[in-house]
Amino acid sequence: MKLIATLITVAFIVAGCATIQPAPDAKPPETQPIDAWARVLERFVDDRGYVDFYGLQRDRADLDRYVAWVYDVGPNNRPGLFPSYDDKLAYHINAYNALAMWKILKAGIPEELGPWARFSFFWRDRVEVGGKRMSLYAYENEVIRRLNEPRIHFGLNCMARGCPRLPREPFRAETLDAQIEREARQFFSEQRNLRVNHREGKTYTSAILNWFEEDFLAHAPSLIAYINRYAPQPVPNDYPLEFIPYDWRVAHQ
Amino acid sequence: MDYLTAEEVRAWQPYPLAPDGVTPRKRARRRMELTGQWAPWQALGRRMAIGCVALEITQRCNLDCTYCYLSESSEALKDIPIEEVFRRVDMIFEHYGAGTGVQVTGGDPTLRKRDELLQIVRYIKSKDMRASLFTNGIKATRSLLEALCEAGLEDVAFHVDLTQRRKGYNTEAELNAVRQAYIERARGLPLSVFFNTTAYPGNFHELPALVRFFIANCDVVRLCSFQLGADTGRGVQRQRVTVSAETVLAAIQEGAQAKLNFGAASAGHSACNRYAYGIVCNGRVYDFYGDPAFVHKMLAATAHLKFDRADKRRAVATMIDFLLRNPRLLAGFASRAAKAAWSGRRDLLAAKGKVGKLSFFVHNFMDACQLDRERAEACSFMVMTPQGPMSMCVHNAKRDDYLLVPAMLKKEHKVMFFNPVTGRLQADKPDKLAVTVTRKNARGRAGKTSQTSAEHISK
Ligand code: SF4
Repeated sequence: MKLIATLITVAFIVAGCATIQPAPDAKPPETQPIDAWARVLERFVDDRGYVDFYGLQRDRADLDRYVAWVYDVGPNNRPGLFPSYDDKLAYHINAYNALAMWKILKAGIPEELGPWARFSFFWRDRVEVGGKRMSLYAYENEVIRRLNEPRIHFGLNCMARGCPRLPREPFRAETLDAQIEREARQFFSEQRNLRVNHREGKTYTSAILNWFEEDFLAHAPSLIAYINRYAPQPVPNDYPLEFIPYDWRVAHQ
Repeated sequence: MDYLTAEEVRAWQPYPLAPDGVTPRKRARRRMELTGQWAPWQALGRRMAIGCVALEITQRCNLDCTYCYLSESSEALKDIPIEEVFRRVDMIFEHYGAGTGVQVTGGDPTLRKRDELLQIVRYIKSKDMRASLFTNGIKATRSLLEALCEAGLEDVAFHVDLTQRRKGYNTEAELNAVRQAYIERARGLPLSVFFNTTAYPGNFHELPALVRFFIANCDVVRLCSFQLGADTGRGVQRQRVTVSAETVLAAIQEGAQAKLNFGAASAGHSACNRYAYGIVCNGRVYDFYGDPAFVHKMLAATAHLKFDRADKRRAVATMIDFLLRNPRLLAGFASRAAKAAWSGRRDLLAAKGKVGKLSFFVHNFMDACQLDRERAEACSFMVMTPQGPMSMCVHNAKRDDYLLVPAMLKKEHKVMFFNPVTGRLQADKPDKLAVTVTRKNARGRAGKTSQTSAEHISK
C-alpha cells in the first residue's frame, strides 16, 4: 500500500513537471512549408543521415519556420489540407522528425540522450502538433502508430544514432509508399541494424524490432518473416533473434 | 629590459576585434613588425594569425603541480556554463578565423562533464577550428579519447613530469611508464600526440634521456614540448637558476644526438618560442630545417596555402600540387631530399625506408613580476578571457580579474548572471565575488598557508 501511495505521489510529481515547449518565434513559411523542411534536410543532413546541429543552430530559420507551422497546422485541426491517408502519414513522419531535430537544439545539442535526457525529450517536454499539445512519446504511440503502417518505424527519427537513417528529403504523399519501402530496405541493409552470426547461430537486429514487435506482427507471421521481406539476404528461420542495444548517442556529423 | 609595471599589468586589456578591413593575419603581421619580430623565420602574420588560443573550460585540477599557473582561487570556483564556453569559442573564431588552434584546457578539462567536453570539442570543430585537448591524462581513458576523436578532436597533449608529484614516481625515467601507458591509449587513433614537460632544476639532468624516449616512440608521438617553469600562479616553486631556454635547447640536442636548427621557423617572439623539426630514421634524428635559407623561401612561398592537418593525404597532395607548379622550388626540394637520403642511406636501409618525424618545442613563459613588454605585445599564445584574447603570460599575472566575475547569459529571453562562486544563475549581477580558500580546496602556495581569501569587485 505504502509502495502504491509512493508511486502515485511520484507519478503526480513527475506529471506536474511536464513542461510545454513554446512554438519557435518564427513566422510559418509563406511558400510551401515543406520547402523549408526540404532545405533543412538538404543542407544539414549528410548521406549517413547525420546532422550538423551546430551549423543548423547558426542558421535555423527554416527549421523554426517549419516547426512553427507544425505547431499551428495538422490533420486534426485542418483536415481539408490532408485529404488522403498518405497526406496524413507523410505529414506526421516529417513533423515528428522536425520536432525531434528542433528539440535537440532546444536541449542544448547534447552528445547523448542519456536516461534523464530521454525522459525530458520523449515525455516531459510537450510540443504541439496542429494545436494539440502532447509529448513526443504520445505523438508516436497515440497518433502515428495508430495509422497502422509498420514501415513508419524506418522513417521516424529521434536523432539518435540507433535510429533509421534520416533521408535528405522530406516524405511526400505522392511518393510516400516508395519512400518508406526504400527506407525499410535501407534499414535492413545496414550491419548496425541486421547481421547474422553463423558461428553463434544467432541473428542480431535493431531494438526497434523489439519495441514495436506488435506493429510488425500485425503484418507478418513472425519478426523473421517481416525482416525477410526487406533484408538483402534472407536471415535463417531457425536462428534466434537478439536485439542490439540502442545507440543513444546523438547523430552528429 | 622594459618590464611592465604593476599598474600597467592591471591596466592591460584583452584585444578588441580588429577594425573592419584588417584581417587577423594582417593584424598579427603588424604586431610582429612593431615588436621587431618580423623576419623570414616568422610564421605569425605570414602563415597564421595566432599560434594558438587556450580555452579554459574548468579551473579544477586533480593534481597540484609545483609550477602551476592557476590561481589560488581556482579550486573553489564552479565551471563556467557551457553557453559561456561556446561564446568564447565564437570569439576565438571572430578574432582569428577558421583553422585556429584551440587548446581545450583548464585546470584539467577531463574533469568537466563528459557530455559537455564532447559538446565543446564538436562545437570547435563545427567552426572549422582545430581542437586540442591539454590534459594530465589521468582521466583521459581510451573510450573518452575515442569519443573525442569522433567529436572532432585532432590533438591530445599529455602533461607528465616530476612537478606533478605523482605518487610513486621519483624520476622522469620512472614516469616513462606513465607516458608509455598514455601512448598506448592513443595509439591508432586519428590524433597527433604531444607531450608537455616542465623543464626545471629538478629534472634538467634527465632531459636528454627523456628526448631519447620520445624519439623511440615517434611512431605515435609527434611533438615534445618543454616549458620552462616560471614564477607565476599558485605553484610553490619559483627558481629557474640553471634552466634557461638555451640550456634546454642544448639538452634536447644532446638527447637527439643531432644539431637541430631552432631558428629556422617559429611563431611569435624568439625569446618565447623555439621550434625544430626532426626526421627520425632508425632511431637517428636528422634536422629537417638544416638549410634555413631554403626554409624561409618555402615559408614565404607557401604562406597562402592551407594544409589540412587532419587529413595527411590531402596535406601531402596540397604540397605536391604546389611543388609541381613551382619547378624551381621542386628542384631545390628534390635535391635537398636526395642529399639527405644519401647521407642517411645506412639508416634508411636498416629501417627499410621507414621514417618518422618529431617536432621539438621550447616555450619560455615569463615570471608574473617580470613581464617583458615587447614579448607580451608579440605574444602568440592567447587565452580567451570573457572579454577577448589576452597574452597568456599577462593573464597569468592577474587571473582572478577574469575568474571572479559573473558571466552574463541569455536564458529564454531573460538575462541572467552566473555566479562562479556559488555556481548558480541569478537575476541581478553580483557586485562582489569572493572565495574562501579552505584546507579542502587549497592547492599550491595556498595549501602551505592557512585560510586566505580572494575577492573581486565587479565593475
Ligand atoms: S608572452 Fe608568454 S604566453 Fe605569450 S608567447 Fe611569450 S611566453 Fe608564451
